[in-house]
Amino acid sequence: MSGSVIPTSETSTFPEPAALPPAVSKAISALYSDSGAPRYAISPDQFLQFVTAVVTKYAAAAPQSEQLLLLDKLHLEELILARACSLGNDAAWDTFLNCFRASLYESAYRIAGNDATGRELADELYADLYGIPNPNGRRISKLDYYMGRGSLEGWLRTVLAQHHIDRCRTYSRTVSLEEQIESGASFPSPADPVTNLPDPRLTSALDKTFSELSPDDRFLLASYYLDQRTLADLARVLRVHESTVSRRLDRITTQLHKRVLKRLRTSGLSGHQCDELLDELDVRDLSLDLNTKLRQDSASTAFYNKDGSGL
Amino acid sequence: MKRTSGKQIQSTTVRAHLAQSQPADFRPGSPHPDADLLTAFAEDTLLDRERADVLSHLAACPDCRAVVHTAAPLQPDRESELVPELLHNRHPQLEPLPQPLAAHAATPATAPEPRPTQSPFRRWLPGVALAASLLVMSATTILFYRALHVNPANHTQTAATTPAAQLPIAPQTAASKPSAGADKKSVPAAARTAKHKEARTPAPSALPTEEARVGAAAPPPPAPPAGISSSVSLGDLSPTAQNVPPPEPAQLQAELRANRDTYQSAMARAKVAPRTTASSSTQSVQVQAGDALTRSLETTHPVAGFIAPPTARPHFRITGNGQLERSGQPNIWVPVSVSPGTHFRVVSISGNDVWAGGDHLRLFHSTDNGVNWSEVHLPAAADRTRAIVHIHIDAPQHLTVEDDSGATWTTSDAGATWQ
Repeated sequence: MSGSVIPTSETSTFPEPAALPPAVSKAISALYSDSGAPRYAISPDQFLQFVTAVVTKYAAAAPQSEQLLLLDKLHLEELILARACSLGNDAAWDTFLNCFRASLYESAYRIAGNDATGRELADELYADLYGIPNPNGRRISKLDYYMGRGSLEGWLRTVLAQHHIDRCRTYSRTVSLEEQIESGASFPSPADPVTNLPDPRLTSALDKTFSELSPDDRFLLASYYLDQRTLADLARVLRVHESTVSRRLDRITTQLHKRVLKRLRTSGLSGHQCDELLDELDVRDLSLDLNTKLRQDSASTAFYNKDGSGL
Repeated sequence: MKRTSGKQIQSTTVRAHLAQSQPADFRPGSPHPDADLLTAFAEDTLLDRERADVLSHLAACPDCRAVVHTAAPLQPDRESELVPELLHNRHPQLEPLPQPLAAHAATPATAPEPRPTQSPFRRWLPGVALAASLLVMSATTILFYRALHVNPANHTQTAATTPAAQLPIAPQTAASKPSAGADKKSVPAAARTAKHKEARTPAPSALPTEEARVGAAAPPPPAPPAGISSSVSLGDLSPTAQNVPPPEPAQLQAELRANRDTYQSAMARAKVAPRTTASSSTQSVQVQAGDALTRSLETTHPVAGFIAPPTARPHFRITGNGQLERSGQPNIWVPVSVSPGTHFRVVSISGNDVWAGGDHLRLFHSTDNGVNWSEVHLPAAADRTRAIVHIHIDAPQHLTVEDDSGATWTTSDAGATWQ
């Protein structure tokens, strides 16, 4: 890509970095030469600003040790590359194209499922990465949102996946009811609220048991039973073997069963009654919203809102 | 909606999932982790605190779960192979990559090491499985042959019901002495003959009938010297002989009595022999004669096990109900009838001396490996309600006895006097 056609981003979208402990600032400065920043004509002050913004965003209130740990886990070279691209550095764009163009298109093809959609998806992302001028004439590059927490290649895949899901959602809203019926979609009948109500003790036991699950267990259950993901999918995401996922799922479900049984017995039911209750239980009879049970609100400052605020 | 593989299936699954879950799960205004956090979660580079938060959100948010699963790389091996391959095809006129990033574009020539497609454990698994199979087969074979050659119970019925006259025994032994009654006469002659043999030389012809009966069950003896017949093996038994019906109970009783008489006469001579001659050959004859009888009585008629003949190195034990038992062969234990009704607690062995103690301070002593027993009385002042729980033999004639109350008695003359 010729350097003459690359516009430069005049302003940065980073939040103003808060003051960090001197030890952290010193550690950031020590990373300057190894980060490749001099290659892209990024000054030490700019480098300090970039990295400080990342540490401030994710660990502003964290202790110093955690800030240093975060600093150690940052992908600094790729962060500086992204910042240099955002600043319009030709060498940085050459490096980006050499290193990530092929993998970006390959990921787009894989995520979209066909070449045409994949290419369209990748081109859209390229446009965002290149930067679109805002009403003030300033170009905002998507690469400014990359913070170096993960690899740049993985971040590009994640952004592609978000774009793809947004496109699918937009597409699904435009599909008429007739088209959905023609494509074989089925719609559930409204539930009868007066028939086969489960024992309230069972509902209470399930409610309490699900609320005790750890985040890992909730994620596994939700992915496997709600999203219908396969063991291979979960193994890829969690970076473990499929058999490990299978064992963990078995362990979780076994523990759930035991805890529910224990709670039922505590509520006064005999073992025989508990077995009968669980044997006759039809999950469809439960007015239990697993999504709600598996949901746990978190108030992390690192999360952003749907409307884009929080960055 | 289980997915298998393929791009089209994945895309369809995402659409279907979104179409189903969007209305119920969409929560306007709820915070979502950004792409950086999701990427770091997938790459396992999050801090612990952040990972817990992201996991909690993912458990509740199907949208973010869909992003994570959709953005997940291919199989790790394939993904790592794919990127260098694509990067290798870059334009040749481009500038060289920076050193850290150049690692992405490592060509196959510069990175020739193939990635292992299997873990080291998986690579070794077939070898380990093969070795385990060989080990199991070897152990099974050894156990089978041990059971075949050592455990007489496997062949008791066949050997016991086979008339000695039908066994292909050497003419010197069974052919001329098929009946149990003849055994009584054969023992002295055999003992006299074996007395002149070399030490540890087996005397298979010492008790021809019993030797023939237990030959199949006994361990194969070493090759005998010329002129001495060997015992009978199981393979020597003809099908006709194996099909012979078992003898009548009366016949068994008579045979048992004959065996017992034979044993007692043999022991009467053998017991004197070591003390008079003290030759190893005589001791060998004694042991082998006793072993032959023991095997015969134990294997042919288990009810005859009350006789406790000596063996080369007998072992003793006390069962849970206080019964003293003796073993001359592996896994064969015979009750020792020392004093009926006595509940034994402890047994101690030193050489040929065997001491056994039990309830009511009853103490028994055998100087011939448990063949003959005599009761040794502790001092009259001892509390007879106690039980002997410990016997420590310091020397052949010197031992210490302790009861369950902690009282001890010591003797230096094999129990004649106590202190």
